[in-house]
Amino acid sequence: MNDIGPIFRALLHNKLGALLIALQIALTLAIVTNAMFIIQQRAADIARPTGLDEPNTGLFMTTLFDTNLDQMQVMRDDLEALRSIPGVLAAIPTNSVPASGSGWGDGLYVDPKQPSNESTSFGNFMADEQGLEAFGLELVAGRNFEPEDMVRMSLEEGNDDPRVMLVSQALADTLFPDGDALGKTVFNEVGGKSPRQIIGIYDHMQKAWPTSRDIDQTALQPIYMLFGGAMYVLRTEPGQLPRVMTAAEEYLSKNRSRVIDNSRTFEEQKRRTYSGDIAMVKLLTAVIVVLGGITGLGIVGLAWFSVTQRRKQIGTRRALGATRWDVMRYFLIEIGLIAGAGLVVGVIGTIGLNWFLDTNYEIGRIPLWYLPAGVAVMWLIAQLAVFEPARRASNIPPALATRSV
Amino acid sequence: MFSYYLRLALASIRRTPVLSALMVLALGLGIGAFMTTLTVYYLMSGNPIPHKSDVLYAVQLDNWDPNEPPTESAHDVQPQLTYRDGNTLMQADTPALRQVHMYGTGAIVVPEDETPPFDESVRATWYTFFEMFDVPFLYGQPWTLDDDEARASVVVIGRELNDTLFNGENSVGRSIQLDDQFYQVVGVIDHWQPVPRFYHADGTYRALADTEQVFVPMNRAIDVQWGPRGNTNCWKPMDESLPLFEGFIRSECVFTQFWAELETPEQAAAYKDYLDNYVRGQKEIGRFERPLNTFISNVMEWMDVNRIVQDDNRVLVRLSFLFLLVCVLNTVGLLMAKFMGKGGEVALRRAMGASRRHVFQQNLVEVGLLGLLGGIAGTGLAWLGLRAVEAMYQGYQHLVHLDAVMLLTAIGVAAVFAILAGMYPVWRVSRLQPAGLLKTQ
Amino acid sequence: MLKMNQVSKVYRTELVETHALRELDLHVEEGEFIAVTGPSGSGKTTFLNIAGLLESPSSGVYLLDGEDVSALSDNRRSRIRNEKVGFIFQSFNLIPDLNLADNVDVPLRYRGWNAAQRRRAVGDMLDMVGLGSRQNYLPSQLSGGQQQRVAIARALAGKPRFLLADEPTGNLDSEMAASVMGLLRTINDEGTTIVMVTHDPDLASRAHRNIHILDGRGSDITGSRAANVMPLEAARV
Repeated sequence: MNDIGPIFRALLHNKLGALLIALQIALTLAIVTNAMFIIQQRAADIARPTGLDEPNTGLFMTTLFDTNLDQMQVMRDDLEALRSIPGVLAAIPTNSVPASGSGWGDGLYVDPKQPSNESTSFGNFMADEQGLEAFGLELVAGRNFEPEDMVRMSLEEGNDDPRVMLVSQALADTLFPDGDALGKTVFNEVGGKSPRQIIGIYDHMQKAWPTSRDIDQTALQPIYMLFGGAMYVLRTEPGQLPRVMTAAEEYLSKNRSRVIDNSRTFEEQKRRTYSGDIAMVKLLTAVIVVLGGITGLGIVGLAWFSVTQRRKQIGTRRALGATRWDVMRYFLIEIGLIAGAGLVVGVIGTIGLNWFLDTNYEIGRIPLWYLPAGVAVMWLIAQLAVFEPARRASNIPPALATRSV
Repeated sequence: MFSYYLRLALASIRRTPVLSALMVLALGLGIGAFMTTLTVYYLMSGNPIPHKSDVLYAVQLDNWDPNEPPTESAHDVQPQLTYRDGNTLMQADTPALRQVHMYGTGAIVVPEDETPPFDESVRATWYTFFEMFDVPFLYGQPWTLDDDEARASVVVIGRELNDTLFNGENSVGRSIQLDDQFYQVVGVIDHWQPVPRFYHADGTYRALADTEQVFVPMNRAIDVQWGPRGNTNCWKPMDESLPLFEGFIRSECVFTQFWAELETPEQAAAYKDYLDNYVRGQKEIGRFERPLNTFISNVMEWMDVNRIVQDDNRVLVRLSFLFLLVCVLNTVGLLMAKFMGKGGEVALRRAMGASRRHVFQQNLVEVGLLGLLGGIAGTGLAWLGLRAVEAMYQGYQHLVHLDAVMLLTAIGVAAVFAILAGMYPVWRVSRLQPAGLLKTQ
Repeated sequence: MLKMNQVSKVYRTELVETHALRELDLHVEEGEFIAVTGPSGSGKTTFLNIAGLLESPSSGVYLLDGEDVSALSDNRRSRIRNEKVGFIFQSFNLIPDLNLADNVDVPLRYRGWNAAQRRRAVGDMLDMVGLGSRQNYLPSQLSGGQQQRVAIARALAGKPRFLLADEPTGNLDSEMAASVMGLLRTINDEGTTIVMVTHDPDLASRAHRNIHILDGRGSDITGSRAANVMPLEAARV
């Protein structure tokens, strides 16, 4: 390592070239580390389980536009037909699904005297006795809905209020921190109105909006919604979804008074809902890859030039007894010094950029371990970039020293 | 001399194809990335209706839950109104030149022929909408106040729907079936796509979504009980003694948008006073239990209140600018390398009588040419980038439309950055001393 | 034509002062063919740079064609180089990616001639050096002797009255060297003043007059045939 002194002094002669590379490395580190951090966060958001049996769930949004139809009868027929398609485990009419970006939010009161701002928020989903099965939920306590729990909600008729509900473990724990939620009565409206008894607790299901607070607080209510159409959720045996989707679509389009607004798998729906995050992940990944490449190629280009310019000098060094490895090591140490300086600045830049982005756009603080990881990766890129030019340099013959061209 | 320099630049680029390609690629990628994010940002933050953005005001009234903490800025107040407040204001004699009350809904369009019915987004609004927002008509005209008051079954359709249903012919006077009822066409509007689509902001706003193809009188939509398709927020239970839809439109649920056209600051102030007085009146009958909090915001203020430009956009613009900076540094480095290798030629030309200015110009032309190539590559990459963004995001259909402005900006940005990148190396190379470099080759 | 009076050149760095030329006096008449000789490091190159207006002297007066050029601006010196001085180098210094016509064209571009004038001059010059039929060749397609002929064509294209040659035959074999020397003689006979720097006594002997530079000081050696013998009295012009 006693080479460092002379290499360092030689560097000072080409200040600008070294400075440019160091600055590039610094900026690249700052960008790549922050981008990596954002990617990591978004990916983690996307990867959160929704609670559903994601790969085996399909969705149909339908509209009935003939107001003379008996909507309850149509729905009964639909359910009977959908449930009889081979491969279907369960089918329900509902209002919404998790990760769809569109649904119902509502509040629950433990005490009739609680004011409206003290309600516990929850994602409100409609389901019948196949709800747990269709959403792929596990009942951890209590019982499922039974046909006599079901009520109807429609625009025209007077509406019955359901008397029971199923809640997620997270909602049960928030409402009743002592863990005795089962069997308790809560109120769906302020002032002790719309009482519901908690008859069962299921493991976990998300609200409809990915950015919600308390995203795990959800509940199922035993309601058939007759609002001129329905969202049908179908859950199939593994691998049966494509076939079931086709069969279900064929059946649903038989009714000429119905329009299928869209039919998509749950995974497709989730991709759409998270499209902003997925796009961010893809764009930032592209930024990282391209930036690494540009910086790497830039270093290769400059190293190449520097080797070409120093051919004579390198030949002379070889003639004076430097081994190939000595020559290579010269270039590796040189880039090491430059990258080192750049990375020191880069760490400060990374923290600064993160501070800026966090202050203005609330991206969060980068965990400390990102810094050494980023530094190590950039260091490696710099060394790899200079490797081939350095190898070329080490192949310059000592005889070059005596040649005049 | 310019054409001579251009020829020399081409020869020089041909001599170092890899280095030159690397520079063009670096500049192109930097500019492409920056232009992509900048275009999205520019579209999001653009003025959708420049000639009227100062006189159109979105209205906010704070009818929210008195138990919620008080609000101060317009951003914390619900962006939408209740039906009952909007409907009262719409029919009141206010200081505004025009007002419009509306909501987004949907219906099934049933074609006359055997083609299958399909779903369309519908804007339920008042006759003033078209004049206020300067909507261009292809055939016919808006419906009238009489139609609104008579709750008439009339409809204005968009050009695309007119193409689908009537093969683009003048369909005024004909009828279309929405759900199970018929509506008479009174007008067909031309392609109309304000970007961003400012008039509908409900908190879950897709700023670049398509405009509706069906417009019906709001009173009619209420009569046929078309529910809102956008965001609906409620804090107070509905009156359960009423049928559901009736209870809904009389409730404190917010789901409608309300705009006023106010030509002068005095008119705006008078209108604001009018709103305040309206709210005070409502307080007397037990509504609006929160502190008085009405807001009117013109179009650009409204964009800001609704945070139309998302943080992700801004983060990407910042990061891609830094990205461009790295690419420029990269190019400076490569240019230095390339130009320092030109010492011999420069010295020779100096000996032949070229002045520093000659050398400077010659190399500036080369840098400019590289910049131009980088700009062209960057524009191409930006176009691809926008296509990718379009494909990745939902509802970004209108990104690639504004190419002319974008193209000029891209080339301008490329030129500026190429010259920034090239200035120093070019200056350095023009300062090379002619003596001494000629001996060795 | 060319008159140097007490011309010195000192290179200064932080640590050392190098006197490359010391009080050089020199007078070259219009139409002369002068050889400047001297060993490596004697100051030949510095002399060439100053004579060719590539560098300014540190002190002393240099008159070219009657004009004091010792302390002109960079621009003015470029102009004079372009109009009055032609250069020929040991290693030809042709621009590798320009063809022969474009290489000869280089000084004319900075002269500001129009395209027709330039085309004629380039054609005439290449004809003169016998390469008129190869205008579109690249330098790499020629032999060394041919390349030097192109360089001479380039040096003469702008009709300079003063030609500076730096070891013009140094990279050529003897046959080619002879032909290049012949060409220079012809040019000189037609009236162009030539100053040639060389360390080859044989070449120097073919000039009218020799100047020997040693440690930055010059001495005039007339009687060119006996050039390799004693240094005579310093030129007092």
